[in-house]
Amino acid sequence: MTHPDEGTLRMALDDAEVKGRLRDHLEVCPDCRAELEKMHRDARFAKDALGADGIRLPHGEARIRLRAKTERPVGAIRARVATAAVAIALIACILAFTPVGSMATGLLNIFEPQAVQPIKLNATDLADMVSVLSHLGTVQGDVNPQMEPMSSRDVAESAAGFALSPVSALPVGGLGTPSYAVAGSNSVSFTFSEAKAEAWEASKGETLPQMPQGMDGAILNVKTHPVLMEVWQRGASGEPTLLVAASPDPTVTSTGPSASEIEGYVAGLPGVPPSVAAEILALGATTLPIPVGAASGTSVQVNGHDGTFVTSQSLRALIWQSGGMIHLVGGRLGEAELLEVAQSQK
Amino acid sequence: MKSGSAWEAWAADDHAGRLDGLFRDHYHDLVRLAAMILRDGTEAEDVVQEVLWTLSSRGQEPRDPLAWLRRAVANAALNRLRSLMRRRRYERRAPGAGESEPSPEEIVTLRESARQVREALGRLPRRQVTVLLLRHSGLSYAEVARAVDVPVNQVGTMLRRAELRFREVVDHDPS
Repeated sequence: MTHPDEGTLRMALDDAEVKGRLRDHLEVCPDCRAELEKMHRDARFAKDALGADGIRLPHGEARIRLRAKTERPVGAIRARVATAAVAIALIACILAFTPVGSMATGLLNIFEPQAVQPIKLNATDLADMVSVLSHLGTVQGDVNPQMEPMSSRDVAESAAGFALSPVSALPVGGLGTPSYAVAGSNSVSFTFSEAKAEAWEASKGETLPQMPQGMDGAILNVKTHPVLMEVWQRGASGEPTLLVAASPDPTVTSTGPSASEIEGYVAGLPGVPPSVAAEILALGATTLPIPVGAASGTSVQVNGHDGTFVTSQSLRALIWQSGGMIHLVGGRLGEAELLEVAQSQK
Repeated sequence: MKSGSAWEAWAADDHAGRLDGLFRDHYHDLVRLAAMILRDGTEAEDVVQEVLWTLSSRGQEPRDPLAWLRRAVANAALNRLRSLMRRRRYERRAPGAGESEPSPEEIVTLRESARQVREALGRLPRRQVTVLLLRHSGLSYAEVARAVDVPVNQVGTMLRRAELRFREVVDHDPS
């Protein structure tokens, strides 16, 4: 018998009794015996390190019972607010920490919509807004979305926690086999501080809008959910030929102020360009602003849902919202082909 | 939706009740699995709750619900772990961003050995961690194969490589 492969040897470690040709081989092969011994040590090391015996596990079944769908198990119950202004403010915060430019991040930076609408907010505007926000409170959270490759659609869907609607109309010409990736959820919080705002106001000589009652210490939180991507790509790098992605609607919550109070306050801040402030106030509470900067965004309909078609040097994509999910179809195809792919998702 | 499946049965009127049954049977094993990754019972339970919630609100049938649950719990625990690791790095980098005192739970979970194990797991490829954890939580090779969706004859090799890599990473912990 030739040397057994490492998998066979490893499985033999867990057998009560090694039999047959493998046993015969081990008797005459010191190399394999040494390898087996090393495997045994490494397996023992992992077993000792990973054992859960020393960890206090919760007992009882009190928490097993499922809650109603609307009562997702999150910590504190918070008022749910959904305003374009909140989204814009936190988009700015998130973008400050997020590598901008890829479609993945494009999808990671959008919020709480029933419709989507492009908004002309360029990198300088964003930097200004982040700069202002940093003087009004504290940003906390991990906003470092990392795409992790997944071996199959099924594995990707279980990692993301939802299914991606299959595309039934791929462009003619053969795109090859898609690959899959998932980015994890992220959460960013912004805590308003009246003291910080006043100190900044005094040092800069800027006049800020009056902070509404209850806003001091209030926490805004944006939680983005996992993003699942299906990617067709020729070659190892470069922009994908076709990318299909989805993510549950991000959740925007506030511990205190109402939607309209936040909206009015944020739109009145000195770092917010007047044109953007006007757009924020015009958007309404349930429209998702997508900061397209110098890119152009046009309105489209995807299977009856309002969407936007964004084109720039780095991004050509359809983005729309339906069924509690944000959807994106992008790539190097033309708008008509992208739309056909998007419409074919059922 | 496939006919005659366990999922379809659940999808009937008693959907939540039937899911409750599945969860009750496997709840503690799933929490234990998450705890092996997170080294903390409370965090582990939170992760399992999230996954159970996701499954209960998912409209589409997983091919193998138990395998799906195990994989999803391992993945969710890893996501949580990596998020904790990123936050730790972020807070080290940005003084002032994490000024609050650690809670008693955080002190417990950040104990040295637990930290080493967690960080090593966080540095391993996702699938290696899943195989490592599932096998060392007592699942058979066949069950591990189902959960990670590979042929059973590949599990030995994956497990061996995961154990080797895990030891290397723990031994070379830079901090």
